[in-house]
Amino acid sequence: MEQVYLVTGISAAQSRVEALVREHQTKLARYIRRMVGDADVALDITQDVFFSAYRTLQREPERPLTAGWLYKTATNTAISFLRRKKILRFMSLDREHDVRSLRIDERSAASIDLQAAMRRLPAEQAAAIMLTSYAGYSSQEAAAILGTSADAIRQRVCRALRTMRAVMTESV
Amino acid sequence: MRGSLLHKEIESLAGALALGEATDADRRAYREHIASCTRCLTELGGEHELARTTATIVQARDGEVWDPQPGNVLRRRSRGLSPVVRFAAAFAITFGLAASALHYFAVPARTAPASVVSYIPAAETIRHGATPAAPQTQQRRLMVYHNVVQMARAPVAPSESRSLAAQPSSRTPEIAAVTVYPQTAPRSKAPASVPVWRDPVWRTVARMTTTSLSETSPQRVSSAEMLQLRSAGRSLTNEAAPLGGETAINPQPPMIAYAEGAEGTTAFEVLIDERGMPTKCVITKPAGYRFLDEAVCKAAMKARYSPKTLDGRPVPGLYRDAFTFRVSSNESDGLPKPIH
Repeated sequence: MEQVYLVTGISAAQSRVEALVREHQTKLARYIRRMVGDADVALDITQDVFFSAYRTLQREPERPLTAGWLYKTATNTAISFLRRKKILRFMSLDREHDVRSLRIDERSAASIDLQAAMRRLPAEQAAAIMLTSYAGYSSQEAAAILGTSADAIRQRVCRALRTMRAVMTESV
Repeated sequence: MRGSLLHKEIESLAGALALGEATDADRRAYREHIASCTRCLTELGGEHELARTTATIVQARDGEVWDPQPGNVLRRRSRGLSPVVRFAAAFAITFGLAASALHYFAVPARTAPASVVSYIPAAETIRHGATPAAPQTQQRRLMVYHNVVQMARAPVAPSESRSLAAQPSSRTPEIAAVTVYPQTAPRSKAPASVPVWRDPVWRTVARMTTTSLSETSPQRVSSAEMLQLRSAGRSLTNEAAPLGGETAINPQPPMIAYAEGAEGTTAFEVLIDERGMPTKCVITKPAGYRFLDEAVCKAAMKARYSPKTLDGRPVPGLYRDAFTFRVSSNESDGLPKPIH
């Protein structure tokens, strides 16, 4: 009896996660890749996000999981990854990380500039600018995702843009 | 105290402006603050400046091609332990053969045309190097392309700039007397008109044309990669080139160049890393005026490049080009004279 319930629970959760994957996977993976600056890590984190969505749905099948939830989980995971990387860099245990974090295969100058700027931003500012300009959320929605106020988001966006502008206009 | 409070507010205002969420009142408040606060103006820029930075992000996003297939993301850890394996297996079944077929067949199919495309210039290069069947006189002749920047000065006339811009496309390429380093890939570029700046009394025009001429000296092989390429024979290379064509490098000589009537040819080499960023600029033939060389190097370092590729992989490479500066003294029509 219990087993039957479990099986149906899994299939329901599975189909919902599948729909989420189909709809958001590419965008989410690109977003995370911009945040962490590394395609391999981004794929790992994307996978983790969908796994945790699956586990959550298994535990509470009634819970509505939206794109916002996915972005929230992704952002938190990416931020904790960035913090870990920062410590690694600080301890200079892993010099490779610095080189690898630049490897984004898009060739356009805008993409290179963006990534160069992203590397200089603190994680909170990076999340704010990526959620709004890149993922297309309004500052209210981004505030709900990050758990702050809309004003704080706008402030972070402004500070991030200031850094980015400096990166883009400086002659190499 | 009051100032710092206002400064905090202005940051959130600027953020709203950049995200396009600002009301008209917000815009007015921002403009008023910027007008009185030089620090904010230099740090944040005008209201359009912020939107332009946001537009760069959008541009970077829209240009992305990286598209991980469902199979790629979810099958990555299928070698892991129990729940992971079960989940991945469930997904593999769900997406079925379609995903795996896409992964295994679509990916090689996508890379194949790319290598075909990159093969063409390589074949061209090799043919240039050793073709016994070519006529004796033609054997060592190489096409040399280079840029000529023609500087002209003319009195300001608002309608004139438009006619000048329309002019270059109808003109035939001009042949210059100065030779520079040969380019491996033949390029055909429409000459571009590059207005530089306006001056209240007279305006100056630096017009760039791409000219070509044949040269008899053998191709200079300077880098180890070049030798490697020749010996390997089957390696496929694409040389580094500026993004947006050679007109992307746009040297803007300082005012003194016009005043001095500085003319000359600057040949330069830019080292391009595997990301397409210029790392170093070397003047291989100075023009005789340092400010011309500096203008060229500054422009070359500002441009972005597509990196050299070897067998489809990006590798550090070298981009060579030259600019010839001419000053036109004909002030009556404002159009550059043909060279010699």
